[in-house]
Amino acid sequence: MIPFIAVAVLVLLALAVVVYLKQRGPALEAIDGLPMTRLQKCAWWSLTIGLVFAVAIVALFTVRGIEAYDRDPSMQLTVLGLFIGAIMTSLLIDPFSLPKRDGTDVSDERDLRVLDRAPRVQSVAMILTLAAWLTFLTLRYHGAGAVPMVFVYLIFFSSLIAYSLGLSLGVLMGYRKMARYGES
Amino acid sequence: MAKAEIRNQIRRLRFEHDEMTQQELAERAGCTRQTIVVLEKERYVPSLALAFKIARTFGKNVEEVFQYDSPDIP
Repeated sequence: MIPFIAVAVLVLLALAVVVYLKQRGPALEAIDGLPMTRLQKCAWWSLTIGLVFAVAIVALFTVRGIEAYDRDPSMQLTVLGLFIGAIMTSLLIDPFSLPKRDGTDVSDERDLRVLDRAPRVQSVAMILTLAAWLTFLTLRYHGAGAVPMVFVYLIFFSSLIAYSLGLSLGVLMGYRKMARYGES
Repeated sequence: MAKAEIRNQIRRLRFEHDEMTQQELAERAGCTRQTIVVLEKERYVPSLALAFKIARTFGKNVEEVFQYDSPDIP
């Protein structure tokens, strides 16, 4: 029960950050001497919150063991909550192509260029995630000739998390590359 | 081939136009203040559309605001 409450608190905290960012925007320090755009700030928050959820999932499986997932419904709920929380962090970035309620733009051509290029990082993140699973499962279960069913879910959800975090990472790398090389 | 550089006079022109703020210029040109900052630092090359909007905000031609410096083209 306690892990489930912890997940609920994490999800609520993430939601509170989403609401706060949409209303006021966070205050983060500039990088490379350039002021951070709203999209850039939100990408930092999204990446940070997403990583907290991802680390919580890894910690849960490390402490309880992978086999516990099949026989413990509360652990299944907890893991599901954490995965949903991690994936939801991409909601911090998605609305950036839309204007604010008062009609003013929160993004311009530079932000949209960065957003357009971010999916390149997303695909690399997903391929690396799948490669990591392939290596881990092969090393651990090659002798047995079969893989427990729980990994099917874990591979799917971890790919979704990589997709979500990859967007934030892609946005941050895009701004850094633009600032460093002055590219258009 | 050496890399071409796009120089600009945005900072000077802002001050010549009643010390227009970066925010004011951004609002008139339809971009964010952060983009004006990186443009002034010459760390970003704008689209043609944005270059025209900025030039027209100052009542200038594009080439009076942006200059193309290429070591390969005289």
